Amino acid sequence: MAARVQTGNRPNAKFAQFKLVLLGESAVGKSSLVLRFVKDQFDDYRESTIGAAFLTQTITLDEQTTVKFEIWDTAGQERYKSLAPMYYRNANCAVVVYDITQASSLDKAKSWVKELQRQANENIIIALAGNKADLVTDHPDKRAVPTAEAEAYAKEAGLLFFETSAKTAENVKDLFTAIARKLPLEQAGPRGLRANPRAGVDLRPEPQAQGGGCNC
Amino acid sequence: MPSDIKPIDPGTPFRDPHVSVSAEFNTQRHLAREVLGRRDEYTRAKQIRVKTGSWNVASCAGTEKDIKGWFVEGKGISSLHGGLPIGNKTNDEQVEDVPTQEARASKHESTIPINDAYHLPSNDEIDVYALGLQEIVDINSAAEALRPYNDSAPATRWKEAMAAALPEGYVLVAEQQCLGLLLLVYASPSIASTISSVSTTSVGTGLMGYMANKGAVAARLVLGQTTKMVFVNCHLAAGNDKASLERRNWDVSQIIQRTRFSPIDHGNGVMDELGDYIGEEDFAFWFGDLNYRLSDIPGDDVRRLLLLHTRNEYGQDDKTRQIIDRELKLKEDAKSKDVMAGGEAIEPSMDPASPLTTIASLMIHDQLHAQMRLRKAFHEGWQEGPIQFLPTYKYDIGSVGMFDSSEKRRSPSWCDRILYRTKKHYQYWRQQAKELEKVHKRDEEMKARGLEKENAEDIIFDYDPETDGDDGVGDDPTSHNNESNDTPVYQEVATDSVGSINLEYYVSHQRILSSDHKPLAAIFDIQYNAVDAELKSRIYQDVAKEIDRQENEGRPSVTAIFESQDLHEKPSDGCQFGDLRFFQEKTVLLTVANTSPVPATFEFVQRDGVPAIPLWMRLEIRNGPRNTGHNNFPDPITLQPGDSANIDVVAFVHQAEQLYQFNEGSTKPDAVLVMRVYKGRDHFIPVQANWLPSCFGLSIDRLIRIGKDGVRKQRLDRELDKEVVKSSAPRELFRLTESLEKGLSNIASDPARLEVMRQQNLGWPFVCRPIEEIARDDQSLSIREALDTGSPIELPNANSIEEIELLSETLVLFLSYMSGQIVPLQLWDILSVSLVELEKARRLPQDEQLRSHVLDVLSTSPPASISFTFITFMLSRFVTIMAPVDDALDSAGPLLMLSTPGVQDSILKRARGLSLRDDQRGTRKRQIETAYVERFMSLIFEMDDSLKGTRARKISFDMKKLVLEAFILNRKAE
Repeated sequence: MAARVQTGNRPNAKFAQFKLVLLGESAVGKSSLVLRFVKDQFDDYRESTIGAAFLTQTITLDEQTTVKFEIWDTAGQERYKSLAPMYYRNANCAVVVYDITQASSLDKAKSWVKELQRQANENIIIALAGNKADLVTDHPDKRAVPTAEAEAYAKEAGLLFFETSAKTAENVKDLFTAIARKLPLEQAGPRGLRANPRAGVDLRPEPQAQGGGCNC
Repeated sequence: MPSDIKPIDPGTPFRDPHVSVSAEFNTQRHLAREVLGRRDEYTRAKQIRVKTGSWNVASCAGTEKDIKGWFVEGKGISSLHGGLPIGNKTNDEQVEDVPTQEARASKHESTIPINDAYHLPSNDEIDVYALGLQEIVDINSAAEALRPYNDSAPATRWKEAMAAALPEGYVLVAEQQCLGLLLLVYASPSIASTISSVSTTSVGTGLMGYMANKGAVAARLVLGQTTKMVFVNCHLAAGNDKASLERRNWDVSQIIQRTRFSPIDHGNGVMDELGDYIGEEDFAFWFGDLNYRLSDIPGDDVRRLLLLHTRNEYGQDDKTRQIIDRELKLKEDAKSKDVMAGGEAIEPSMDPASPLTTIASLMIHDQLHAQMRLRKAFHEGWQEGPIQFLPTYKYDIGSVGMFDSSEKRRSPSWCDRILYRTKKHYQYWRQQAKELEKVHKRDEEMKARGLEKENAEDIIFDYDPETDGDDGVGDDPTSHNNESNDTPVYQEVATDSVGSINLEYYVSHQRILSSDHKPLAAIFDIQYNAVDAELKSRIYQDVAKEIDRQENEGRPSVTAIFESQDLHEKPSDGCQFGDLRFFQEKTVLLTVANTSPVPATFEFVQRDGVPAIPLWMRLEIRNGPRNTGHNNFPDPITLQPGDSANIDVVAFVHQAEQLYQFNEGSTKPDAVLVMRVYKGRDHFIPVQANWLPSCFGLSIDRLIRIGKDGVRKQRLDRELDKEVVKSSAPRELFRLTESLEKGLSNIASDPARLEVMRQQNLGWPFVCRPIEEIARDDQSLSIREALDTGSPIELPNANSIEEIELLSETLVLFLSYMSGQIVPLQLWDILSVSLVELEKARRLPQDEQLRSHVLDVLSTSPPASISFTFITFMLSRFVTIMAPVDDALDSAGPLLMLSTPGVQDSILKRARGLSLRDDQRGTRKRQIETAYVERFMSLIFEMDDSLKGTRARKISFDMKKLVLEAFILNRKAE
């Protein structure tokens, strides 16, 4: 039987799926950033994340390129710190978040960056996000981390850098898009194929005879 | 006697090791244990005053009348206490003098001196009163000793006396009687409410080692939910000889060994496994008539020495004093003066003539202290306050200071004692004992290694009871047990820490006259941690919350996200397939992520006979090979924390039964999947699709009732049968055959394509690809969609060959799903019966006539006969074009030709100028015809599955073949 080209998938379309992990001190706005990115929503009051939350979001870089993020939003509270490696393991990219009105949160972010660079995937793309930018627009005195300082650090550590506001959506999309652009798309397999299928999870079903119905 | 028999504690929950404990109960216990573990956070230091009293009442009538004055009010302390800073003595003048008191003494009223001052903390200044009495019945009477039950009347008398004596609201929290022994523990209202886990018991050590004429009664209670207190009231073996002394020691060891309290119930199902022994408490008080005497000193001397002091209680001319003086043979001149009166300017303890000095000199002979030093009894950390009172035994009843003046003139001694011990005391002793044992072992080893005998002997003779005993008893910083200590011990012991005890007073009540023993009392301050109920309830809530949190967080949990194939549609909670058509694969991507800190295993589970995954759906794991036609999810999947699985949830309706049901609307393509996370929660996943009805799977009778706009505009259930017939034959068949013939004509006019077509396999183009390939082919879908909607069939991306392939494949699919096919069983039965009859009559027609006969029979169902004609006509057209044969050969008949012997054959061929190729083509034509016949038999005639494998089926099969061959074989293109 002659082969026929199937329509539906554009022949040159690239699709890639990446694991992204969010890290940072408690209450810097990790979950809010994700909520803004995925659902374009913002809650003034959010409960602390317990363990980790999982969301997905697909963005289109151009007509040919689609990137799907599998986002692991981790809990920032200290007692969950030991769980973090489980989430940044195998991650292709990470967003390390701090609160620009809390100087200590940048220190915490730096220690996360250090840990990622030491323990995570070698080629992990790390972005530093200084969140809560909305708080300093009207009250510049509330700023505790000067943009220049964080930027210099990011540059030195080789990180993408954005000051964001989950509340106003400022730079949120840009942040994720910038990460997507930096990710090695040519290495990404077709949709859904992972580079490293994990051992211990045998997902293959037993082959089984075809179901009936068509008598041809 | 039933001294040891205890009623069953109703508070003990029944626990059968064979009965599994419910999870709820376990949670309860876990919670309670956790709360218990944080006890320090909800306990607050508390200090209370405990008064213990001991009195051998010698079964004397009227003794209970003195209980108030002595035990509750702290009266009746003699000035003989000299140096003791007890109370103020400002009103001493008015106190009844001794002779008057003695003269007044009777069984009918209290013998307490009138106008006596309150010397000790009394009444509600005391929080806990623990009273130990001995000989409330006459234990020396055989009748009493052998009585199989306790006579409760004497105890009741005492309890009534105590109830009358105590301030209002004081509660009896523990009581235990064993023959003559009675232990009563009372607490103030506020303390009583914090007392729990009260347990009392008795140990008889008397006659034969078990009778209760001697022994102990004991009580254990828990104070403020934290602090265990034990009270032991004992009466040990009497007697001054060595055997009696050893028997007393034995009694003590028996009491310690045999006392066992019920297990402590901590509430909420948490209960200690075992009951407490003596030694597991925080505070212990051991009192009673211990009966230890003074050794190595003539009793007479003791008596005389002490009388020198007691005579001072009496006036010069008092009768008692004269008796004493006579006995002591004191000279006349000495009479004028108090012989042993304390010197004016000397501290009583320093004054050689003071009672304290006498007491100290006699205490050296005290058996109890000697036994303690020798580790024979009460050496395990037990403490005693300094004895600064005269021996409590034995006096003439009714007398303040006349020691036994009977024939026996029993040697005075400190028979009645109050000992105490805190946990720290006990632990200190245990530690010392351990170290001592180590030293001993080392010595043994050294001996074994043959060290000089001299050395070993040194060790033995090195022993000095005075100093060595201090190792175990006297080194404790809180110890008062040091009779050479000449500073008063009432001074505050510098310890305010929890678990500490401070002995405030240790006194005898010399001026109680109703028994031959003087009553004895000690007042202690104890510090302990008490549970603060409010704090505890807060901690309890905390712990409950924390356990919940831990349980929830430690429990496997996953997040499931569904995304449609359209990447720009938002993820949804459920599985939404949107429009779903026959034979169209629709996929929703399910991502399952383990968001818990533990590995999570999940699977889709069936319930109540509903399959885990509906038949029209399947799940495929993205990173495994395709799971074709697999309806049920395979084995459970385990995800590590932080891992996710991508699963394709595929909807695919291709089973006839499912198709009929969806078309008729008897079932709908929706479901709720249950995704079960082991040890976690079930996720209910709503699945929904919008079924677009299909012309596939309908019967011929229904198909002819479909309007030209297709099935989507119509109901496809029984209602359809009531519709008017809208076409003579299924429009879909007509459209498919028409398109095919048109395509065929196109190819016929294109030699190149014609040649390609003729190269195809036998049976082409009426073959089908694997179902999943068809399912994913958008062009196939567009043909089906055109049939269902009545829109034109357009295949812009297909060449003419592909077009024929797609159309014929769809035709095959259409016919195979058609309910009852073109010739349903019923119609076939009529046809086959007629054919059998003709055969029997040997009139079975050939070709043309057979064809007319078949069409005649089929005409009872016009749509069937018309459809039959469409198909067979189309097939013969295909045969003609796929394998054209020239007329000459055709007329000769292939059968004849093939049966001709080889030589003739070749001659014939040559004569007719036929190439070998043409010859082959003739053979190929037959092969194609046969392939078509076999292919379409089951597509035209409904198969009777019940005949499977029978001879009837073979006959039916042969007849169908015969009929089809009549239409397809040997038929010229007309």
